[in-house]
Amino acid sequence: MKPKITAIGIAAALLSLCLSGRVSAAERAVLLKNGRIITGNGATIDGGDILVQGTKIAQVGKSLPAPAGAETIDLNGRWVMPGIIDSHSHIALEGDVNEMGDIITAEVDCKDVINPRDINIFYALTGGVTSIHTMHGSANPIGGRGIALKMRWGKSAAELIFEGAPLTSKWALGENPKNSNDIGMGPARYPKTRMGVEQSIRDQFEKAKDYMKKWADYEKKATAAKASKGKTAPPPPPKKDYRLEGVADILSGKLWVRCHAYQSEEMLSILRLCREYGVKLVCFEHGLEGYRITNELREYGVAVSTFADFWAYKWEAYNTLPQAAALCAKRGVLVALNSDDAERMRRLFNDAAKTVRFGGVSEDEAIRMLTINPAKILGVDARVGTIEAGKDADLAVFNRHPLDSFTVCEMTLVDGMVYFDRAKYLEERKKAAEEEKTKKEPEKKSGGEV
Amino acid sequence: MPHTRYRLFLLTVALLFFAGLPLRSEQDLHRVWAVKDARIVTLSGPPIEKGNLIIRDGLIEAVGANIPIPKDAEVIDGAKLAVYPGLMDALGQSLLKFPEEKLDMARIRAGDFTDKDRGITPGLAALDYVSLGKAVFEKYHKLGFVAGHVMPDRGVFTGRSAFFLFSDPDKNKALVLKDICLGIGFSPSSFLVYPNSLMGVHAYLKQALSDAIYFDQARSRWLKEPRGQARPDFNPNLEVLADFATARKPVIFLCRNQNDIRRSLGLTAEYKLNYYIADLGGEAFEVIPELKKAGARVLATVAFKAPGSSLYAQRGRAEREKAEKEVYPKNPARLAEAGIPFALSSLGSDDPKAFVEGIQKAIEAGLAREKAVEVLAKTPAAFFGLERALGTIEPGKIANVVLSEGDLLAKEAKVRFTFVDGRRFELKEAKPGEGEKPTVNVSGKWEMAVEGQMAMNLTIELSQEEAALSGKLITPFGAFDFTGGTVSGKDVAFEISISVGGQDLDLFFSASVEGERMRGSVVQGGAGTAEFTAKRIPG
Amino acid sequence: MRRLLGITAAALLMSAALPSFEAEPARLFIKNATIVPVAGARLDGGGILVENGKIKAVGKEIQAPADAKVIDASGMFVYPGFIDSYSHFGLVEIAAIAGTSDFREMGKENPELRVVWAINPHSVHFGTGRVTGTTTALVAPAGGTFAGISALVKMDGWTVPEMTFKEAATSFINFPMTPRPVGEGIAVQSEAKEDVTSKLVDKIRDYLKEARRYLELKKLAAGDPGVKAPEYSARYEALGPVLDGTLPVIISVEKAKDIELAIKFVQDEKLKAVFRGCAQGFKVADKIKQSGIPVIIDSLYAGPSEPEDGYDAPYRNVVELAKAGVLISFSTGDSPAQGKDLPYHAAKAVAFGLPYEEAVKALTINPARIFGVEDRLGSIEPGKDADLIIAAGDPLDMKTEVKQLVINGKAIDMSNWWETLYQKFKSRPE
Repeated sequence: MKPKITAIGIAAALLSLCLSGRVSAAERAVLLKNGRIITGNGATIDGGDILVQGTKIAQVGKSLPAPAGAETIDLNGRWVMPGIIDSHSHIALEGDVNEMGDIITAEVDCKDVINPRDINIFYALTGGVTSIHTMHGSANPIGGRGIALKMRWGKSAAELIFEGAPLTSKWALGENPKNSNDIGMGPARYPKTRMGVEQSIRDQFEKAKDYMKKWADYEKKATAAKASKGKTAPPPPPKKDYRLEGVADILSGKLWVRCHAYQSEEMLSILRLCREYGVKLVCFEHGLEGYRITNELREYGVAVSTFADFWAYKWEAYNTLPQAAALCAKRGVLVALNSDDAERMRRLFNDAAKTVRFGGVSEDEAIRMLTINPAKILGVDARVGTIEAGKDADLAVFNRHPLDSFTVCEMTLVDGMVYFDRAKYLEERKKAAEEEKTKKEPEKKSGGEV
Repeated sequence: MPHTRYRLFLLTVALLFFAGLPLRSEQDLHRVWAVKDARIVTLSGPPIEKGNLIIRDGLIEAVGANIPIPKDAEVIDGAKLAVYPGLMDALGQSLLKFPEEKLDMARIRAGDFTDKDRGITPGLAALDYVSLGKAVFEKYHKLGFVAGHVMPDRGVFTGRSAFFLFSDPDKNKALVLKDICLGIGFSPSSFLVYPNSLMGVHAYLKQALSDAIYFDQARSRWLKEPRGQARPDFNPNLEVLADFATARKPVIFLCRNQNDIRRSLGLTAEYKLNYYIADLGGEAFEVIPELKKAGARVLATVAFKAPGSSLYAQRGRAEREKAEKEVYPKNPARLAEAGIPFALSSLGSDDPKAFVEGIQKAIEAGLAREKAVEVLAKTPAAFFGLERALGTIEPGKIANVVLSEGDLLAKEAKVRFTFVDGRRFELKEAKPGEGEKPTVNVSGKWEMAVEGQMAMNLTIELSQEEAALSGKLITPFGAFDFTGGTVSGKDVAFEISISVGGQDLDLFFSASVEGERMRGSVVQGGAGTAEFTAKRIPG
Repeated sequence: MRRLLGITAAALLMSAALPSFEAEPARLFIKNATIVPVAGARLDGGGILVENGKIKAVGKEIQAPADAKVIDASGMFVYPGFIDSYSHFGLVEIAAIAGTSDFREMGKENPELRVVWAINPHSVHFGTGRVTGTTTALVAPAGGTFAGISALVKMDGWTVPEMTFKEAATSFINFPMTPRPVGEGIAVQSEAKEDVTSKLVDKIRDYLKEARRYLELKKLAAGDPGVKAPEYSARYEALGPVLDGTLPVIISVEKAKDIELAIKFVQDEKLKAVFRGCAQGFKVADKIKQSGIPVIIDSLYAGPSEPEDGYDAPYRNVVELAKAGVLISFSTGDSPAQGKDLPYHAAKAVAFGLPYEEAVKALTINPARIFGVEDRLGSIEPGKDADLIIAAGDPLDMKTEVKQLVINGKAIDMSNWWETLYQKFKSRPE
């Protein structure tokens, strides 16, 4: 049964567009021709073409021949950049983004609550975003695990997962974990200071080390019992504790640590703790005072995933400036721009433009902050982040340069599939409006307005 | 007093005295029944177009085309009647009545939270809280229902179910089986306790199941050989959970939407549970391949409301209503088509009438009526291990039958008699309703629950004079008089202006009244809407 | 006369003895600029002469007087200073810290409160908010139904009185909003069976009726000693200018249905109204145009009011309203920390189809007209206040740096908190 198109079903129509009439992913070929290609690794190709085969970019160049059966998309001179990667998001999750019942919740996992029908996935595509990292909130010193997703709107939860992306652990320092322990219902809970926040993490590390030791001892005894062939009774195993296993995964390096922090001293202190326990901290989230300690950040090798200019909403976000990202980048710190918010996610390219004015970031570097830099932070830079042969065909098409203030994202592809097409979207809307009109006034001719 | 007059006086006194007392016969004189010349749908074979059914001592004695009528049987002429096995609600909670509990704010502020606050109540047993009675039975019998599987449904480990026949107000007599299934809900606490997010609930479930298995093994190890071993601590929750975590008994996952169904299948695969999927969001059709692969058994709702997580709900009222009319009612038909074993649950439907209306919607949307009867009679019996006692009309089984004028579940059908446990119930026609004048009297105290404010204890005291309604709302923050109220037909509306913490709020309540329950919505001027229900407080 | 001379002499002596401040030049001359005056065509290689805070002359052939301070704006663009039509500049420093927040009084009825009593003229946000070209802002109170009285302030000054351009700019009525059904839990909650919005609007009408009654009684009592005057009510007094149409009132309203209700309300109550928000205005654009009510567009960092309006609804809304001929202006809304984004919202509307010239008007002459101050602000014309943007490019372009703002004829000190931090930490050795 053909789905009925109504004004409000436009996103659904686009959904059916994606899902209907598809060749198998492996066979399809698409040639995007005549575009201005911002490859994301320094080069911009005017009048360039991108050949997509299957889900990958097969070739980037000029005047590429179209293989037989290939679909052609004429870019008409429009700009293409690598699909934007939002490395700090909370969309596509069902239920509360924070588990506030306890201060350490390493057993909790965003993968368990992916909501594939969140309309914000579609909104991401309208802003040129092709992958995100969605995560636990910042209520706990050690929160739950996050997950990287590709914005394959319409697919199931399992199919949204960015295959092969490292799993992450979310930590939080500062005002948020302090405040989450005192929200009115019930007495205030420890920790209420930055000192307590750090100590909670240390305490948990020690508990996890004990837990790992208990299991190691058990394994030894169990192996010995087996070898004794019945002479020694096998010992009872220790009780499985998912929370401590989650923390153990942090200590063993299985999880990439993403730490929400604002003030420079708490960042330096946690780096020291990480060195002490041999934990690799991959990225500071927000890190709005990071511009004060760029030497230390660079030396440790930690990245910063931050805002272009969101500030002054709380005390620890006051001592910062829109030039912060530029100051970090210019001093060799890996910087990504993120949204942390469904609405901001749709205009990350505007945020990148701000760093050009505030701090004098080059346009290339500004683009990198949306593409290859977050890809590196997520550990998926072998797959995405630049437009080059061999990488996933995640592309965002704009009618003007993405850093131009008057630009609009017109098409977004993930894995070589068009998941958002503004022209078609407007056409559907116009059609639907006309249908509504003729339904209401059958004797009047519709004027064809939107 | 003259002799005769005195005797008459005594007789009058005696009659008056005994008129108030329930008639207690020394024996039940109505234990043998014959339904003659009726169309009988046995569900154990093709329907018998014209046959006789003999019930004796609570059981089916014989059924067939040429069965002789016993001399001691009371005969019901079945010429205009069709006979069906009594229908069964595969999962409901409306028969449960929990005691009124006042929220102790001091306890909350002190952070003194209980397992109940966390939603961890595996020990809660349906048998202890079921409330049966003549009025309840009549509501069900009128629609062809004679039995129900009842389970508490609030929280994370919601409690254990029991199976009742709608035959006797004494729950011990009505009980068939107890502690059958354990309910598991994806329902985070609204207090600042763990777990209070959906992800937290999921992680908590894994840990609890793991702990229950561990406890079970540790305990049996100790019982087998206590020497040299630390004695495991007793934990009442884990003791209850042990049977279910080790698959000795089944669990029921209360799934609000398709995401919950997938989560449940993930948990069952990991912990090898014996389980049912209660599809409360009506979205099982989205998960058919996975359900089939897992061999899952489903208890499907017929409330057909689009879950909040669905795309339809997110895209606005018109989209949502359209889906609730065109998409969701097809769910049972699609499950049937896919060959997934399922029964129907009243969860989400307020009362038996709404339950049947939902079933009829499912039939209109494509579920064959015969299939509907089958999943309401035979399937629940099979699901809960009672297929040798219930579900079909066969000799030896419990006499649960429905006699209806017209095909059962058809819109025009009228149930004339039901037999439950062999006892006959006759059903009279209801009087037609009245117009806009109030048809309800809501004066009295009601306990109110507002969606999203489950923790707050709210009571309303109503005073109705014809169509005018006054009263007050009692909250933990104080009592607030209504600033207006009306009653029209069975609908009530009232408004309150509250000042809380320096903020002025205008609240508008509107609801429909059905017996002892009210259901409607409250609008906070300019902010949002929430649904609420209210239950009359007796006395 | 002698006394006066004496005083003048004393003053001169005193000024000679004081440490030398550079006295503000009475005249300023901006030369070689590309001027976008808004009133009239773009002027390349033009000059602007500023005298005593006002624009004296604009043109190609102006000769700079000898005592004028000269700003060479070669390669630069000069626009009229932007006007932010709704903000909380100076009323909140850090949103999460209640002690720094003064824009939301408690209670529903506070029509008499004036923001000028509470603005912090040295708020960090004035300095950071104006870096992209805002020279005047409407500073507004919020909360309740009658929030108070807003003021138009210039974005530079030593004290609030110095900054205040118009102390009583507008009043406010926050219109009730038809609630949207919220989707939570198993099923989406249903909409109310009743029309709650109309009931709440009736409450507002009743309040205005009371105010009228008060004013009427007061008037009668003044003329007739036999009539007892009512007890003084600051609230009803404050509503007087609103009710007689001399003080415009900003009405915040979002949904199409509510906009229609609001138009009727304004017409019934005979108010001089300005709408704010109108997220679904595009659905009833013609009706808004017919009513003559202008619309202040809220921050465009927003999603659609309802998903079915479309993902681009906030931007499309601006375009449709302008196309229908509604007088629109831009604003930054609730967060002064994002105050510098005023031209960015305009740029976003241009991206989605608003003609560039309309966008510039909506930042300049339109808000001036909306607030009734177009005789003084909103374009580069002789006689108007010298509020100017001197920028290295198009000020609607996020990449453009505004080099200098002129406010009240003064080339202001552009230093701000960000600049302080930038200079300090830029210089930390690596």
